[in-house]
Amino acid sequence: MPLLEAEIRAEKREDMVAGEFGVTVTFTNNGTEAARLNIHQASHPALVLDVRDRNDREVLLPPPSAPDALDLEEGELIEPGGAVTIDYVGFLDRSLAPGEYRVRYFGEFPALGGTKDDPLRSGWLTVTLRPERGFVPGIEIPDFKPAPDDVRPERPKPPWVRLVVRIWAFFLDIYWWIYCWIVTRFLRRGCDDVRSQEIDQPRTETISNAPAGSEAWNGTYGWRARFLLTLDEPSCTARVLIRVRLVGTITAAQRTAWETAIEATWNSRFKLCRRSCCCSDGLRIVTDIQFVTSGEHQVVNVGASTANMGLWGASDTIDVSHEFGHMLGALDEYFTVNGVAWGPGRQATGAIMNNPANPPVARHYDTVRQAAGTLRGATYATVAQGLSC
Amino acid sequence: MALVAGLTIDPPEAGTAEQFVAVCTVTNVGDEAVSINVAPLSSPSLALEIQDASGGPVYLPPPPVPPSEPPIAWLEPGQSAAGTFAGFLPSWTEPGAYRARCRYVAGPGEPTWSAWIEFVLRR
Repeated sequence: MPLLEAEIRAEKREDMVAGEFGVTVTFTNNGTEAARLNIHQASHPALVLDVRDRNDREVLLPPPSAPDALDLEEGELIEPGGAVTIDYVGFLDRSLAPGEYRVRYFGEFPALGGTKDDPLRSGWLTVTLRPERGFVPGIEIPDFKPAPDDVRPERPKPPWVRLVVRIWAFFLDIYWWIYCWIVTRFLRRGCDDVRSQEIDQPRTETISNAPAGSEAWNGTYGWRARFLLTLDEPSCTARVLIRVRLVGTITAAQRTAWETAIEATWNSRFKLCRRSCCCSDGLRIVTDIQFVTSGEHQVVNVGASTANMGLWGASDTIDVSHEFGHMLGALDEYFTVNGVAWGPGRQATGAIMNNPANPPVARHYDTVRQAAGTLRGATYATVAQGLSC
Repeated sequence: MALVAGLTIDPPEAGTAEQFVAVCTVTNVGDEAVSINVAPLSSPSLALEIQDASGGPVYLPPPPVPPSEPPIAWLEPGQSAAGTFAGFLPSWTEPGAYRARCRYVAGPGEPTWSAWIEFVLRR
């Protein structure tokens, strides 16, 4: 007769993040006849996993999907001595409180290997959950303008307009100097404000007019620019942190090469300027890519060559900087993108979103600029680091 | 040109987006060797069309900047060129049922399509 046994195990059981915890259940037929198990139905965690907290209270799992045809079939036969394995990942909700939990397989229907009277159950497996560090949902930028203003250079202004603007700026400077003197001397307003915000901005672009040989590039693409933005008055920086979780094989040296190339490309080239009593010469834009094992903004798969924002070549240090630009919210700048004609890709004078070997320009930080405006409730301009605000 | 596209997605069902691996294959089913542009097979963004359960498009991040010269490969009769895309599904994809097909764009005409392949991202 069939004798199905279930064994549960986990690669790691200590200090786990709820949303990423996974178990593997192996079903072995130790009987003399074939046993039946509907693997498809048994793959729904909510149907077969029994989870309890430290006080033995049942932890409810999210409901399974509506049954499909495969769920209703008889199931697969497991021959005597045979075994099948099912992986369960991400069945614990991210909001679950930290602490100790127990989990086991529990199937009380024939399709799941047991019956009401004789359920198929594994032993208990204990897991310790820790608080999920750094997982804060980001916000979309209100009134986000999908394209930067500086795609086309402005027409030169007539001389009289430039003169009026200069005179106006002169008087504004004097007014501002007096205002700041009063605020800092009498109202004791210090330049110590630090504020952060997680950003999660959907981005789309449509590429058209690709030339012969590149027709495959015509199409619509979408992604999410996700980062933690910190405006730091004490250091006069706007810090953009992107946490990346890597999937695949990469050496520490290759990972360091990515980080070095990306941060050298994107850091300290531009600053965010606005009229302010603090950081009057602007907030230097500093990017920081961190490789993490959880709480990521982006997942990057490691491959032989860079294929898009989510698949990077292990030995590549050029195109990965371009893909990092997409993570910051920048659009491509080759062929025609969202109606703007840029010409061929990899032009000698093209900026990084056209030619990945070249540095970025101000418009590539536009999502960061708009996010900073949302965070501060002000309007910023992006200015090259060597120029005055 | 007698090209046929094929697609496999493994596993057909997974708990996280990064587990899916797609292999898009273009095979010369003709009697003569043909030259093909392999750039369209260099990125999942170029080679895959994905739809959700309602038939709505699932957009992938943009492909890399194209090379200055299209990379050309010769396919003998019966020979294939393939693109393997580990973790092609973006991490922000909602759980649900999806389907994908491989598209090979050889030029300005209609692409060569594979059959649709279904896969499920579990909750």
